[in-house]
Amino acid sequence: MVYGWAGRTLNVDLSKDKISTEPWNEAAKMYLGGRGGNAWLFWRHSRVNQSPFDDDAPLIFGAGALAATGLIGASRMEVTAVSPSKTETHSYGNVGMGSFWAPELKFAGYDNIVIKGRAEKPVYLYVYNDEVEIRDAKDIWGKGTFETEALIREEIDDEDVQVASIGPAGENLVVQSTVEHNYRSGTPLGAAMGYKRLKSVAVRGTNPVEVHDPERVLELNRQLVDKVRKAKALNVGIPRDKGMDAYLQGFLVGDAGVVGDYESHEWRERPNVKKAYEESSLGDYYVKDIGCFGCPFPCQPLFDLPGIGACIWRCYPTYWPWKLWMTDLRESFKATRMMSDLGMDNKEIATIVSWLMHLYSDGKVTASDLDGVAFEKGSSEALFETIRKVAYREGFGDTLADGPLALAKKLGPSAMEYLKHNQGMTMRTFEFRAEPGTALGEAISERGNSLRATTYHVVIWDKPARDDYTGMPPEEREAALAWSKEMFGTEKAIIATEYEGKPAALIYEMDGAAVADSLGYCVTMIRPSRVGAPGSQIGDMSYEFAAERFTAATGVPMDEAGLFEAGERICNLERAIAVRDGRSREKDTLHEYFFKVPIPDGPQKGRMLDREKFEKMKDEYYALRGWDVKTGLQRASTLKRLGMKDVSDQLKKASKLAKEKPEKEE
Amino acid sequence: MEKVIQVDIEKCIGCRSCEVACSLKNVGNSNPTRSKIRVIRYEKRGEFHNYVPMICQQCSTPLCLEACPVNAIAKNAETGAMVVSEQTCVGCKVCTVACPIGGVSMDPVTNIAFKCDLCDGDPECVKYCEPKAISYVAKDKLDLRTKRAKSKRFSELFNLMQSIY
Repeated sequence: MVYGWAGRTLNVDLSKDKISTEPWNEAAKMYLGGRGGNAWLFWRHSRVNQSPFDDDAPLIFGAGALAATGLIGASRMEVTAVSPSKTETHSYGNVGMGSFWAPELKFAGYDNIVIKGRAEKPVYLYVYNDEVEIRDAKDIWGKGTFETEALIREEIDDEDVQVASIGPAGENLVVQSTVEHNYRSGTPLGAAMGYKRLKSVAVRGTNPVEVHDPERVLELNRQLVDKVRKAKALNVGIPRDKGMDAYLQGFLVGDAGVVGDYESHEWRERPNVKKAYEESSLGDYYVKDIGCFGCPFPCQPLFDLPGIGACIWRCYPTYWPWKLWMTDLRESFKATRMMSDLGMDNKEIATIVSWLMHLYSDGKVTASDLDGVAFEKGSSEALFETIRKVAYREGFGDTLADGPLALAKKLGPSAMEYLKHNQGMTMRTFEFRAEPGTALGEAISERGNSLRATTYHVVIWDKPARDDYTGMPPEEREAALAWSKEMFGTEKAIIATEYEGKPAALIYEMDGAAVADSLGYCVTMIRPSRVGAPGSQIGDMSYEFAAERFTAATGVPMDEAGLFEAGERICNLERAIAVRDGRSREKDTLHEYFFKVPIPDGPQKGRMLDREKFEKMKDEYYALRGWDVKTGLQRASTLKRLGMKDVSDQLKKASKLAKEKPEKEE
Repeated sequence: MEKVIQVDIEKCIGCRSCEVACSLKNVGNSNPTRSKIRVIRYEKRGEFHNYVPMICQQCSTPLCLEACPVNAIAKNAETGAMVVSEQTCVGCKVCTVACPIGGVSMDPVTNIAFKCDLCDGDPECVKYCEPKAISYVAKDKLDLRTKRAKSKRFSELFNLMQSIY
């Protein structure tokens, strides 16, 4: 009996109209599932430097190893493909989402789906237990993701079908397009799906997922409910109340994140965020929180604005408006909803519009360069025009849909100079100049989006972001510093502005995130336990607890060290994919800007990244990883220790393996 | 005092924790299809998301019990739950037709009727419902609980009136 996992992989070839299944590989289970399992499948099914627009490129959907086992907070799915949005390098791209899709896939009897080939005409995939069909999508092609879901449910006549779709943007191979499920999306991979002419993957399952010890699963769930209740009573972590957490979520980033003033390289002359939020009376339109499968602690506030409609409004969408200097939150809510429906990434689009506004404001571009659209700071019209033009590839949007680099080339050298990007993707708003650890994560990140490789969860600031803000309570600060010393040997590892100890803290965060993403655990439920420390979330759980839960569901013995080893393995596999496709030490870097232009104002005024110290952090990072410091390539001995000899052999064949460390250095 | 599972549909967030808990406890795996409580979704993305937990209400006049041609359903004297006898049930589905709220279903594995038996007086599902869309309440407290919940808005109205006058 297979416990926890569903035990099967579904293979679909859209060119040959062929569907088959195979057992979910036993060896792959050391990568758990979800993100790790997908990485393993990607490694097997992709070729060196494959284009996302290659018929044979794999598109992989996976369920977290523990999704649908009944463990609270295990619900996440993962999509992995050759990244269309990293226009410089392509290679590995992935995105994780919560909600209901992954559990439904498990109930249908599959851990993952590998989709290859390209359909002749638009199709969607319908999975209902053992019945798998490639269906005609002519009636839904061109529709938004909202309507697509409704139409598919209507066609199948089942309200419980869970749908992951692309919108018009994905169909039009827009590199900023996303795969959307239930308002969730993220790092854009939609074009990879659009190229396959695959509109949706609709799943429905009515089978059981077997668990090793159902009584224990229930017991651990009760413990978790209890812990979260207590944390809520103490108001630990991020307050979540009546949707108002939406804006707090966006601004309480570490100790610097006092509403609207958190450190970001992206904007200056900030609007009064707090005032704008309060004046928007958005709270009046809060409906309720909705969440994910099997989690009674919903964290996704649903708003319904008259004349606009309903959408989830949380996290990133609540703070991108400021970098466009937009203070009309009604307009930004409308834009968020529109992008979700069209299937495009609000982070990419907002950052691009912010870039164009910077250029426009400095007189580097004019309206005539951009089809007559004036990119005045704060202009919602400019934003809406960009969204529409990119999604439907009109005018400058057609160029922009091939990535911001393509547009920058057309607009000229200033546009290129102003564009801060990572392999062609725009960057998060973090103030990398004041956060060396987060900068290192961004540089190392395989997918080119540092959210999965960042120290921002383990960060406190050396000084508050605002004079009238007292900062975190002293006892919490002390606890955080003590934790840092214990974990990484120095208090500095947790202080945002320091270099010391950062590589170790980053590895801790990266491996931990890989575990959560691969088990399908919510990152709210499993993030490192450090009650009261900044960035710690409600329901913080130790990895020990996570390991216990894993064992209860799967019957596989596990402890904290075992989970971290799995995390390390997953990070090594992702590195191997990147290295196979050309990654090396010199490419693990950030835009020159962060090393050259000091922060002009605010509490961190004058700071920028120090190249020498940054390179030293890299030395330390590679050494701690057991990689070659000179090249950033992996070593056979490291991969062998992690049980990855097959990966090591293939890298060797491709001459992408570092030489073993000479004896004297040991 | 007998207790019942009270449903407050306005509070349901559609997470299906109750379905999982029911199946883990009663069939030993994670399987919403065999859960005795089901969350019915009414949603249109971009417009509305409503969820209704549906579960046997242990009727005062249990039509399932009345309708059963083989007398397979009996009331548990202690908990007040209508309980299906697995040995007696022949799977004729008459009870599923008779029930006015869809509280009895056919188990797709055993092919006999299955319905909530209140877990012998300790229902598992309610333990995880943080929003309290379902709760296990004594019958003599049900009435005031409902009235209190529904009158809460009036209480807010009083505050408003007082602030005006």
